[in-house]
Amino acid sequence: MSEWRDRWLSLVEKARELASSEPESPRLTEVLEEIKAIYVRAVVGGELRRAKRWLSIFRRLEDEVSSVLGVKGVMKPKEFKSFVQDPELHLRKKLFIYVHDLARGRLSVEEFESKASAALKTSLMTNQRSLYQSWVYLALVAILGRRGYRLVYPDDAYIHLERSGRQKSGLIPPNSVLSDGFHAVSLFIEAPRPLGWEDSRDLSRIWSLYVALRPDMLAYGGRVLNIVRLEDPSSPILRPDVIIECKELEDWYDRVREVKGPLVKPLTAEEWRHRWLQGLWDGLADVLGVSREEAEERVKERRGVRLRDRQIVVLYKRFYEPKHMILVSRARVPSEVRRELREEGIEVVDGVGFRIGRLEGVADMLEDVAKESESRVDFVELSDEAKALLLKLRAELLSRGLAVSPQKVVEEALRLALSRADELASRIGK
Amino acid sequence: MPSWRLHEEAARRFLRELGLNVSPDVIRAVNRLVDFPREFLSKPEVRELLEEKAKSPLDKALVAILLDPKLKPLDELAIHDWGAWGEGLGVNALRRISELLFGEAGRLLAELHLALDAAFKGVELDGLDPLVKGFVNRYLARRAAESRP
Repeated sequence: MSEWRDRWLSLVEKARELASSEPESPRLTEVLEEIKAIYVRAVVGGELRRAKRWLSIFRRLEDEVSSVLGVKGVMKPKEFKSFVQDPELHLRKKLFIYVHDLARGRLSVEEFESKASAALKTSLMTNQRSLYQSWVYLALVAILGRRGYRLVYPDDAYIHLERSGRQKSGLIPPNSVLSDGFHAVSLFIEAPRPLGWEDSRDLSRIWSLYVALRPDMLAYGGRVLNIVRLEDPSSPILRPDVIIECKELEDWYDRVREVKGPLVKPLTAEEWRHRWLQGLWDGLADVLGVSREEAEERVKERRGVRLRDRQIVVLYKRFYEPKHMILVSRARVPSEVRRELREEGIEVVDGVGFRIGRLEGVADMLEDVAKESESRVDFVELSDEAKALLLKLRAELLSRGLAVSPQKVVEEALRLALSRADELASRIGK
Repeated sequence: MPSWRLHEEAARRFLRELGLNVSPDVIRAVNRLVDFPREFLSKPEVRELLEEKAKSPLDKALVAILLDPKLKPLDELAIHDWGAWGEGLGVNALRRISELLFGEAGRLLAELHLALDAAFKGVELDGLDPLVKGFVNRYLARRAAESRP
């Protein structure tokens, strides 16, 4: 038996004694913490070391992108934030309920090990996926920032990796809009997602969003502030210009995932409510140690169809029909898989690792779509001097009794400039 | 399992009750789609029609999964009865495919086929259209009454 296991089993025994004799004692809390710490290191220690290396690269990029764009920082989803702050502590938190059950004897050692190791591996995997996807996103934003693009949406001076709650108003807004003053590109992370809904009618209208396949990133040329088009239920998401899919695992192309979208029938709002209540009740039951009424009718689980990840990537392309689709892979991709994807019109950028320079080509493509979509750009970012001139001109007009909006001043000034184009051209030519 | 003759007879009555005028060819085609899907879907005219009718992204994805060998899933959907007696994974796909090919009547006929099979097997099938469920109950009760001496 390995050394850690002997020590760990003796701690489990100690915890069980304390849980029955002194359940409130601080010593029990200490022992439980030690049980979690030892178990995390024993089960995912190697992966955790790798995750920590990736995280330090990620944090450096966070600082770089904030400084290049002049923003205050990066807002992350709650789970991912906790993982970035301290991955080991984050994983230990995943064992909270299980370790209590182990101490109280509600779980045997074997049951604990089966549940806890699955929870750790799932959490680690999910967070590593988020980490690489977020790194790719920030790297692209950083490259565009170095090329003179600025964050023009949202206007809170934060880069948002999360989308929490932002769909409640019935829209899917971008994570960011970047502009060089004339062109813009709008980036969406893991959209589409469910929108707010009230009843069955609403739900059936937006069902396609629930089941839609969800690529890592969608990009649109121009300032696109909402990609929902419920007026067209057959195609409720605006056709993207670019899809970027990120893969952090070496063997991603052979992995299998379930796809539910094309196979499921809409759930009614009542079924949704039932599911929600059931989930709530299960969670409470677990904590309180009570069992749920057997008579309660269960909503039958709907399983999806299993496809390999490389097939799902092709499906994204067929489903969304983007103008360009790019797959960014941290590791090298075997040539036959690369060929297969290229035959489908999917560009593969592989062996990227964490080298930002490898993504310059992807950023070129984002710039290209930004330049193609002038019709979607309804703004020109003003320089500081232009803003000062506009203020001066408005004040001058006001002193003559004319209160004119900035838009009107710009419009009339441009009209005037147009009527005196020769003079303007010679001024600019000087 | 009921014979195709019984399936066809039930389908004719069902359509008559609903006041729908559907060609006998469609009834036979739906029965083939349910019982021998792979063979049915491999016909060039069927593939062409499906590719033409699948306009929404979800339909396109479904048709691609069913028809494109590159996207063939690990779980085969187009199997006898579309896997209705296992996990029922393909039943919703059948509903949508029959609807794409033959309209609303096609979907109802596909459900009717499965509902009759289910009744003969003595199992209950989830999510059936109430129109189909009601008809099958009446139809089987009438048949039982007629066969009594």
